[in-house]
Amino acid sequence: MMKVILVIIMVFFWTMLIYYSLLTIAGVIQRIKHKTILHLNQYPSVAVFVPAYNEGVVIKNTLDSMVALKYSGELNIYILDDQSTDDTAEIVKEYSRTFSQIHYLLVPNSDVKGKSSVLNYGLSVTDSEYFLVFDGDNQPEENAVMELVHAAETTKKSAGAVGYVKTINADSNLLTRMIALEFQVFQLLMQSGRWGLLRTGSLAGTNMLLRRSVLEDLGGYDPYALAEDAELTIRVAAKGLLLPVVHHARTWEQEPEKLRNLIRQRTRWLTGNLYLLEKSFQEWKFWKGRTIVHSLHHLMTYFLFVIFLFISNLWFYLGLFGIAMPNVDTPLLILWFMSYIVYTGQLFSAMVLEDTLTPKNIVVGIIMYFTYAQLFLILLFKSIFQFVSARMRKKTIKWDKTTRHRQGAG
Amino acid sequence: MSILVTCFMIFLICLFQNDTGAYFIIELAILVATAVLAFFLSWRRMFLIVLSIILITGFSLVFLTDSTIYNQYILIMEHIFLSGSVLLIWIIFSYVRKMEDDLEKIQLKVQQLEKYQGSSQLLTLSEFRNRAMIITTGTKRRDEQNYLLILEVLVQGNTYQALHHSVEATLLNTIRDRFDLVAKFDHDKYIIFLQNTDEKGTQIVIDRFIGQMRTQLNLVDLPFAYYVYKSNAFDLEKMAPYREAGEL
Repeated sequence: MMKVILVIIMVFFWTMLIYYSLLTIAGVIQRIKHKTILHLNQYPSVAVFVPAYNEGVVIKNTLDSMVALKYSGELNIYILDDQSTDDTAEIVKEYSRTFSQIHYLLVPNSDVKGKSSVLNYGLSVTDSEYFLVFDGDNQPEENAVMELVHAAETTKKSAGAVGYVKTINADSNLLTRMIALEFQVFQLLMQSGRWGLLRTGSLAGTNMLLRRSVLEDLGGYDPYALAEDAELTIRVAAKGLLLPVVHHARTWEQEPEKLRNLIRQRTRWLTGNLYLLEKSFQEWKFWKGRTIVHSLHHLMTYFLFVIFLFISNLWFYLGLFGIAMPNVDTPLLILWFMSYIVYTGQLFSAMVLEDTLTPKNIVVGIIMYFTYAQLFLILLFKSIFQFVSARMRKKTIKWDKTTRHRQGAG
Repeated sequence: MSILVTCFMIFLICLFQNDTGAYFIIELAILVATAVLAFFLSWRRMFLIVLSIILITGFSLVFLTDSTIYNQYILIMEHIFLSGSVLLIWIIFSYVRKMEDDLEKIQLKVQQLEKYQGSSQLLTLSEFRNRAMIITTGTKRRDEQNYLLILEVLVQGNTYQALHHSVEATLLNTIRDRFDLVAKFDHDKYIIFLQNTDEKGTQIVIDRFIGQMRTQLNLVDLPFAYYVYKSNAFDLEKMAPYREAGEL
């Protein structure tokens, strides 16, 4: 019996490695494809939503980028102020007085705080054909809206489109450099790979365009979802709709500069994904059509991976303490080596595609497997603990906002 | 670059030092194929090939190992040296190609920025075009006429270089300094831009040139052909007349 479990674990880990290798290759192929220049006969109206809560240190740069957005149709930018207590409102109002396309909206208090509630409010007071979400610290490139609309309008059965998030403060310190590289891999390479290979895309929470009619059909955002983007992705896929990945629609955003802030942010993301995993065990629609790709991803990453890792570690320690365990002839050293090669290969692929193959990044890429990647396990266990304890006490986990830094302040 | 080549040599030595038989042939074939492909593919496409080689050879280790720690260690080292060599081939080729591209761009830029051809005082064609365009804008506004004189030197053989030297010197001596422009094109032709003049003025320049050349040459029939165009009848980009102009 124990031998069978160990064999299953090995097969699982090898399958994960092969899957990620295929995604990497598909991602590179997708990325080096030539971009086609498009022009639509008619451009649909787009409302840009920027949920904002105490964004005083970053909102000026955000608004400067919003004003510079180029779009051939009707484009309105709504700053959805979730009761900020700093000077966010003052700065936004100065812009809205000057620029006709910038609008300030104060979001009324609601029982459930968080980005989902804010976005639902934005949807209730606007009426564009599409809406696009940018986080409060985002600086999209001027063609971002146009590129997303092109992809959404030219892809059959699309619910919208999702762009690429780049790190504006990558050079601030070692942590932000690692986050930037991680984003290049998981936000871009894996997303492009999944789109190229399986025609599935995931909403990234920012730089994402959606048809208003689709969200209305789905009943709006789930205000209890901490990872509202991942949750919505599942519901969109369950409807049989597509989310094309547009790697040349870029936005730049700040990433946490302190480990403490990163842990808080990622714990929220992971807890949000655990919420989704729980939902997937309860609802059949999570296992239909393309949704299965997302659900399997959640199941493999947040459930099976953790359980199998725990069993294999237990096996290892019991063996160390002299407790006789069944022996399985399997190349464990090569498995570990290939895990390193696949992970580091992904990082280098992203660097090549993004032209960020600098000596500093190469060194960081080589050590990331032993440092940054291990953080995932700690975060995952922290999130599981937080999620389970909240469930047991029947408490709602609160939305936790990522701390912003003044640009250039390091 | 020398560091990269040194690293590549070290990796090759490490890779092949203990190899025999089939492994040697397979690894050599992979390296040669990588180098050949690197000639034809762009650096991004080549990276895709390199990545695939690293992953496929890595996963194939599972089928080659007998699962003992020592054997796994040997295979992993072998894979590291093979991957390193393949990566270095890609890096070296990409680096050389980037240098070539940069050189080409720089040469083009220098060509655009150069005002004179070689050590002579003849303008480069791009400089000639730019100046002619600027002058034409002014003369058009003042309702003045400019003329172009194309001079073809009909000599090949040993005296080619010497004769062209004389022609260049004479042309520069013939035209109005800082007022008219001269450039050479198609190896044996000269284009002369004569500002604010007419057919009579153009003929004076031709006569002066012929006169001065006769004092230097013993030939009865001078080896020159010349054509005159109004400047607005000549396409400076194609270096050909828009329409047929009368030969003087």
